[in-house]
Amino acid sequence: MLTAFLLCSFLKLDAQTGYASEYQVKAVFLYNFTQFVDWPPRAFEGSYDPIVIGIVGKNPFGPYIEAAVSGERIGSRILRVEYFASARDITNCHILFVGTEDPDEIRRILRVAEQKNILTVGDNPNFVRWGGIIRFYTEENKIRLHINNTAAKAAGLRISSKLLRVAQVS
Amino acid sequence: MKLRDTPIQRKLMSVILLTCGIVLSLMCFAYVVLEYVSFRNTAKNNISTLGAVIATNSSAALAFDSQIDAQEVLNALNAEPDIAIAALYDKEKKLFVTYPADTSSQIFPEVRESRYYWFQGGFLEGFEPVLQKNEIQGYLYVKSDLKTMYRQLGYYILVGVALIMMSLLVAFLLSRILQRTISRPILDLKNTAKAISEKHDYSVRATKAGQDEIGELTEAFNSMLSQIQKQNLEIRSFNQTLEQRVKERTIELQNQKDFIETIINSSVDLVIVLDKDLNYLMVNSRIEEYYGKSRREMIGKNIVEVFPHIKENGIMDLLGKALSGEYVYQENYKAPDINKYFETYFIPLKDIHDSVYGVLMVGHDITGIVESREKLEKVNAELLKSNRDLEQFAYVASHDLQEPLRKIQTFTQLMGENLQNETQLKKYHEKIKQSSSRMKQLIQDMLNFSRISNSDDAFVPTDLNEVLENLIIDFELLLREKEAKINHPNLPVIDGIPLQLSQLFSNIINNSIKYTERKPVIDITCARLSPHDMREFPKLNKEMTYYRIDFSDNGIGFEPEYSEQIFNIFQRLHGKQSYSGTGIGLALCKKIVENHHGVIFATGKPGEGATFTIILPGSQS
Repeated sequence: MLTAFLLCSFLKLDAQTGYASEYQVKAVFLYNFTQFVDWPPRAFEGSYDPIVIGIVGKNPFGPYIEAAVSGERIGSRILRVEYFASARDITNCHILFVGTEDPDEIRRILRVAEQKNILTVGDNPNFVRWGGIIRFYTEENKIRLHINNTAAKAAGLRISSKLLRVAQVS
Repeated sequence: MKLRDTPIQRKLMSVILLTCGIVLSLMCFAYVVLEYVSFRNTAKNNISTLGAVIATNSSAALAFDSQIDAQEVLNALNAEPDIAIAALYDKEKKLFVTYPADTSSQIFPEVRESRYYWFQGGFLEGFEPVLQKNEIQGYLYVKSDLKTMYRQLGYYILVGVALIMMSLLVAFLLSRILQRTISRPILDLKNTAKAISEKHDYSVRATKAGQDEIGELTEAFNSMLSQIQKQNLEIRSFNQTLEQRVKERTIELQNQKDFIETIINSSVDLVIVLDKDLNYLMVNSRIEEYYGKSRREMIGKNIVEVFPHIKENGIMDLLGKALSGEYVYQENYKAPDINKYFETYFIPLKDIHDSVYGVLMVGHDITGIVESREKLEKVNAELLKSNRDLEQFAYVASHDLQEPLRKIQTFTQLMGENLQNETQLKKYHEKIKQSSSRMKQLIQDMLNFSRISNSDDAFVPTDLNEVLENLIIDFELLLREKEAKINHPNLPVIDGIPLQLSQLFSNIINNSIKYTERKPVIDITCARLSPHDMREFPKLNKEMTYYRIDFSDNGIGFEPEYSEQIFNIFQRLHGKQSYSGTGIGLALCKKIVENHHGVIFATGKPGEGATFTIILPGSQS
């Protein structure tokens, strides 16, 4: 909750300047995904295991992602951010933002993620085509979502229909 | 009319209808209130459910900043026409989208963070936080118009009122029929009671309708009637006995009263009872005989009112004395209006405390006694006068009659002494003849006089003209001899004794002719006596007509001081030598006039003649 307030104050601050940075919004969206996506029970070892948001490759969020999740809880689970350098480094996580620009590396990461119940998120225009689940894109100055529900199902994830409704689904 | 005074039928119906009306109204009121409350709750539930659905559906749109989607979600409210406006606020409480989309943002209130609904001015509005997995994504605001609900409520009220009306109508119809079971026996009882009180027929009985309280009342009423009937009979028989006794007693009293009244009315005396204020309490029937006044009219009136004159004749003083307790006796009272005399007793009537409450007047008629006494007195006076006259007569007679007798004796003696002297004898004889003739005249006159004194000749209408004419014929020779003249007017006809009147006139005329030295002239005048002149003669009865007849002569007259004396018997003013006369004539005139209830007097002066005036009544009754 505290972080939510902090985040709010950030956003308000930005609102006052008339501009919230793209990655600021995306950080909030990442956090918001945790509320619209259900993971299968096997994704967690215990009921108190945290929800881990992993960032692989470059971190474009700066401090915003930490700000967005710190102190937040989804049910009995806290949120944690972990950073991975490459596909090989990826360990157990639930949401994985792919900050890598190299397409091969992206595919590699996605192949690793497919094995696990990970909600993969990326900016690359081909991200969904390559097997990623959610892609951010910009339309009329707004950040929109492109969701590959088939991939999500394949990953054992259940995406809320409400989320699907606000997104472009393929 | 107050409920207390309305007929029992209406009272029952009023009570039933009032009870029904109040109960139904209360029920309907409660029903409407419940309906209202439940309507509000339902509305609140509906709107909050709707709000919750919309809020749930709009969480993603808010979370991912999708105004289009949010608008779509809100537009779903179209299906709910009662929703007036709605809006979504984002996490920072900034207006995100509105419904309808083009609504001015001014009319939306500030966000409430918790779930809250409230009623305001015909609207139900509220906030619903938009949550996703307990994470606030924004806020929903909805405002619902309650018009429909209120219309529904109004409809319910209308139905309720209509139901009440119908129920009341049914209650009215039912109560009209059902109240009869209660009111009919009461009304029957009332009608019976009324009939009894109007006709006083206590033999009537009310019919009993059932065994309820009214039945018991009817029974009690009937038993009361029986008692009344019984008592009535007793009272009536008692009354009859009483009436009979009263009647008998009344008759007895009436008889006693009649007896007393008969005695009082049979009294020859006037019996009068006055109260303390001198009002008549009782008068016996004598009063009607004496005064011709009705007893009935007198009773209750004051004595002064009935006889005003008693204020002046001392009766009031006597009554006053009697009222102060004194026993008063009035020897002689002349009742002025009826010319009766009474000796009167004024007896105070006292009650048992010895205080006077009235006066009993007993008047005994003594008129007979008084009148006979008066007659006696009058006769006595006449007798005394007659006695005096007789004494005078005897004295005068003896004196006057002795004179010619003495002359006769003297001349007889002289004749005896001169028997031879024929001349002397003749002279004496002549003297004796003269004296005896005079004596005869005297005795004749005295007889006339005494006859008039005792005369009881009847009065007849007498024409005085006739009397005078006859006299003039009788006096013819004398009148011619003396060359006398009599002037006379027309004279009236009066009640009188013709012979006496003739003698009266004759004596007066004779007197006038006798006592004169010249040729006698006699003037007779006659007039009816005026009331004014009548006052000079107190002896006259003022209610009768009188004629005054004056005989004026030119004779020797007389000294005025003798105007009374000349009417006395044997009173002569002049010597026998000068004038002839017995001295009885004028006394006779006086007697005749008094016999006719008139007046005679004479006026005159020596040498200037005399006037004889006679006043005679026209009639004697």
